[in-house]
Amino acid sequence: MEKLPMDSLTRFVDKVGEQGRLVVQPRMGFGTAAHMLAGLRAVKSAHATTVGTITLDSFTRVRDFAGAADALRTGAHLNGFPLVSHGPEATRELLEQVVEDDFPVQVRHGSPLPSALLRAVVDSGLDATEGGPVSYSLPYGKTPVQLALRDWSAAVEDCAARSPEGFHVETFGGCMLGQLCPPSLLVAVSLLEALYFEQHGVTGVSLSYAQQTNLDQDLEAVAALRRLAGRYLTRARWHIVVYTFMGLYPLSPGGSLAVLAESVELSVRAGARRLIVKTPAESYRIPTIEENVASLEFAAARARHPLDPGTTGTRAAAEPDSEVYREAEALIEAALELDPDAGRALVGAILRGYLDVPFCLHPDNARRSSAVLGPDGRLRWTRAGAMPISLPAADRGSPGISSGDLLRMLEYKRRRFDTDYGSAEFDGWTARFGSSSPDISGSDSSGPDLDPDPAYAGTTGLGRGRSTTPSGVRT
Amino acid sequence: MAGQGFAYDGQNTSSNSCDGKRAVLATISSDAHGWNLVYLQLLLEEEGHRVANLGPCTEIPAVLEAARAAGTRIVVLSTVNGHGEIEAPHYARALRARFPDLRIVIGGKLTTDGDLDPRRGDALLEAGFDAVFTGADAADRFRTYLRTREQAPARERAGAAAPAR
Repeated sequence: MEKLPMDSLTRFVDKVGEQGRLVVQPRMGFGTAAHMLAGLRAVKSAHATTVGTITLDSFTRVRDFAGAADALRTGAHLNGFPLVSHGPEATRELLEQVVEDDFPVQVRHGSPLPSALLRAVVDSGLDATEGGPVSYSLPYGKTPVQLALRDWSAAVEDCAARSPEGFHVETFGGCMLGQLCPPSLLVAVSLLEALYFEQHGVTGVSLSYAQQTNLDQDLEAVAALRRLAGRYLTRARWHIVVYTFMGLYPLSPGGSLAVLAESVELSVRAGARRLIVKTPAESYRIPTIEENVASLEFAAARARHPLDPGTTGTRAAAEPDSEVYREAEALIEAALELDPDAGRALVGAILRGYLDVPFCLHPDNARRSSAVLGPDGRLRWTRAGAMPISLPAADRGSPGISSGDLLRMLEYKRRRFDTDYGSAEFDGWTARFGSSSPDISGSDSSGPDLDPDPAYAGTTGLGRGRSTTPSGVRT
Repeated sequence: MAGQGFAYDGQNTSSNSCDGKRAVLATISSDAHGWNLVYLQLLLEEEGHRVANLGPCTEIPAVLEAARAAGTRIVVLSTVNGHGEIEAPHYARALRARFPDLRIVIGGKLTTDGDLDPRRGDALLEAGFDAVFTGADAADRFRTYLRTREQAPARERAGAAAPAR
């Protein structure tokens, strides 16, 4: 078997994964090198098996490098690290002080047209990033997917060619809009983007899946993703990465920790090797370094005892031939029939509506699909559009959802977990987040927070020192 | 009337068969949020409009073009990233210059530092918006506005109508 080079993220995750340890990772980005270094050091020394994150700021994400540079110069607050503006020397200097074999660092960004950015990533000596031509264009703006594909292909091939030790890309396909997407579509996009990266020279990939609203369904989904990765990925090293719930987050510390705990349980039981955590500050603002460290340590503690009280699913193992598996397989095959290149297959499938993300407003998305949450939180299709999915008779012709329905579905996880776990203390862990829930009565509370995630900086306007950068994406 | 699951016709307008009343729904160019737009489309459809939902990160030219379509009765700008106060006036001025009688409203989280105080709301009205909807019950007040104000034959001048809060 061909011995492939291994990027730093794959090497570390596989090593500790074989020891049965779950890797936990935050989202984190600060404007100055000093602040970024402090954050990375804190994550490294956390009592948990961690990987570091450098999240780029919104200016950099939209390629406004001049805007990022201006903010650096004037000392304006940035909501991430402007890697391009700092330049490769300064970035390498920062990394040299914290990166080592047992502490790799990944760059997270959210850019649909990443080539300049990823060139700077490689120039800085980094070898791991995240995204995808579809997963970073459909959820957020208007970049045509064909354009995103061209740029991603050029960028990814360049990164692979310039990284003889290997390069890693994690697909964001398991998240997409973060809520209300039946898992089979997330699994299909995640798999197709990972395959695309493999086809374009990437030697280490990770396939994401974001925790949704029913643990048993999520267990099926991750099992399906693993099985499909094993079938379709033939060269790259791969692992599964879970994202703690990316939708409207609970308001109480107890509810927040319960969601995080459930995501740990999902990761451990489903064999994911890495988890991107959330903090109880999620509904309010960007977390502090301390809050991030506390969340990482809580997740690590839970990983050691994942089935403690507070779990929500049944104990049954996920069946290998589940509905999620069969649906995802049908979606993947429909796409790959269009083109053996998984990237062109993905784009072709989207433009034809064979893949159709519900509630996604991107111009290239067909917008003929729809989905609902059942009373138990299971997601199911109510309209399939052109997707090769057959709806059960009961669902065909169901009426569209109302605005009230949408709100209830978006708030489901938050409401359920705040109700069931709002006063839970998790052995005193909630005390470490005591300051996370500010008095919201005096805040700008313009109705429900509908979108904490696409804006990295949160939507409530409660944060201190808020930036004036364009609101970017939370990846 | 419930939304039709976002089924779209060729003009990117929802295919609800509501007579004549078309709404253009958009956000400002820096705002990547989408759920507020999904929600408002459903609300507008429930209040009898066909909706052209322009999605996140909308540029002014796209809004102007969409507003030209026949039957357009209202342009709704919804933005929640805190930059509305800065960016939205440009949209209002551009729309007002071309469509003096079109109803134009804005809502969401328009500032980064808390509630919009009356003077800042007035600045938005002066820029050309007919109404501003912020605060906890903004959606309900917007719904009421659609049911009552839209019956009026002509757009009310900003001075004549108390701004919606």
